[in-house]
Amino acid sequence: MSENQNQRVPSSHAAVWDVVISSKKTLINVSIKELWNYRDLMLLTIYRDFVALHKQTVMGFLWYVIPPVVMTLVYKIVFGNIAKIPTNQIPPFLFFMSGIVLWAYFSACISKTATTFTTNAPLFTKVYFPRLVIPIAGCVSNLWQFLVQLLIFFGFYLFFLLKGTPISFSYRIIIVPFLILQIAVLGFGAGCWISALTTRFRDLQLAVPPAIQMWMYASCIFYPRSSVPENLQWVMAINPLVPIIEAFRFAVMGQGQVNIPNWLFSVAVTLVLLVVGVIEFGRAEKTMADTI
Amino acid sequence: MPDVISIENVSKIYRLGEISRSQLFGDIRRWVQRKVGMGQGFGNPVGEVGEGGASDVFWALKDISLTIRQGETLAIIGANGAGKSTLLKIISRITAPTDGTVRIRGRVGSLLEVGTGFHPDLTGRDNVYLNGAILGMLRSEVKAKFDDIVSFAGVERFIDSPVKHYSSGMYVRLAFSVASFLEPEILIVDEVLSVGDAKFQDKCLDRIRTLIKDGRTLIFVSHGAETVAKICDRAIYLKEGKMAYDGDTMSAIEEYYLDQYIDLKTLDKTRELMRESIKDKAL
Repeated sequence: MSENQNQRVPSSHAAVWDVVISSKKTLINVSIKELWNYRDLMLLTIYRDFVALHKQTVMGFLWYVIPPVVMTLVYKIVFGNIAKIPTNQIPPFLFFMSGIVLWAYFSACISKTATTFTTNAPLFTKVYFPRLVIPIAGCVSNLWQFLVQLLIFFGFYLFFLLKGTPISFSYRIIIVPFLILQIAVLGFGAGCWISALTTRFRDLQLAVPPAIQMWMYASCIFYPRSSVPENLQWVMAINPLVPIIEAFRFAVMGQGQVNIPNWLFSVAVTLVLLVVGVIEFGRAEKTMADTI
Repeated sequence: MPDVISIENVSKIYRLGEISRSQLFGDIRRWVQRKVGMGQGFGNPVGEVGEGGASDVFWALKDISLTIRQGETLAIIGANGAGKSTLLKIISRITAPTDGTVRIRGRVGSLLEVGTGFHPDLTGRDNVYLNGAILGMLRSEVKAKFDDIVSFAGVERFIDSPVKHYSSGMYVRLAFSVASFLEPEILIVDEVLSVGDAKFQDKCLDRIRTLIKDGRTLIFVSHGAETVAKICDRAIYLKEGKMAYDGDTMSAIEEYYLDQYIDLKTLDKTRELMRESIKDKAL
């Protein structure tokens, strides 16, 4: 902010102010430059999340592995063996696990971002720093757990591939990093918007977890899009997460289909949510200390 | 000396009804309270207490104008709910004013409540870096001052243990130490000196005096007139959100005490302390 303070002309007439705080409502209250100045805070927050997660857990790292695998087995039994939901030639285990792992990352990003103001209120009401640092760090912290789970998924994937299951490995896999980025941005953008709204409407805090769960049921996690009845296909078309998960399954396992217009729509929705979310977040930042 | 803070006609209004209009329960509670005549609004955001009943609007600050020059040590005094914390929160960018403008030159460091942002599972070392970053320092800056911070706090032996095993004294010393070595151009100190033992309090005061000597601007909030008299050369007295006095520390304290009906003997004691501190400064 003021590294060149010493060279400043010591005259109040030639005053150049570093910070102007006013009541004026500006549309964009977020500065990239300021975020950059706080880059070390971002890194240290990621480090803190990492340490805090691991401290005092005996099995530590295993907690990343057990839940998705157990959950996948449960899904396989309930949806695969009992409900007999088709999985488009993809081995049910891989089909369910891909959905579960991707969903877990999305849901971690959105719910962690959505509670930014409420969980950090004690800190936010005492020290100023660009608040966006916290949710950005949060989405990056979640990435670690997700990548471990993704690695486990690819372990099983390799197993099925070697076993000769009809899944194909192709160049299409290069799209995966982009899909992950889209999931993160979608969760972050939507979460920012929700967290801004929760500073004014506390009730949302209670409404968000069930809403996220409903979103999961509408997101092709344990069924392929092709098995959705015609009269409900519109839900698949407007849900920005559906094309991402379908694209992941298609890119990795070469089965199923991707609806390109739907995916472009999903990218557009992601970007709109990002912009609106960040703007709303920046506005809430100015007054959250009064309402939280 | 150039101006480092310029506060122009700053007001802050809290609308008691609107704060969480969405939260039905809060509204009902407030309504009942008003009817029953308990008066003081509960859902009030910063703990400032307004007169309930008459109006839903509460002026935490009303038309405050103030210019602070570089190197000045300004005390803000006033009763609970006079708007001291609100003013500090506006200066330190935690909340925006309802009206008016604040202009700031240089980095503002707040010692609002030491230890905010400490994580119990992290070691003292990690917390120093994390806390420094929260206060706006880069890692390299913290690194340069790390040894000073640790030795000032006197926790060298424990620096690599998680802070949850620290005694509360160690915890507070480390937190104060980080914040005071941040070396911002403007330092805001809010009641933090009430922490730690007497020895450490003296050490803190010395540290603050060093910062003042370095030409840093200090804004100090305290209920203890003695401490204010010892370090500040200017004071403003806030009364119900309005500026009641702006000038030399002693007169401000006098005004404040007269309003508070405090025994003037206490004031004499403060005056004596003040004389001593002036002598100190002269030496």
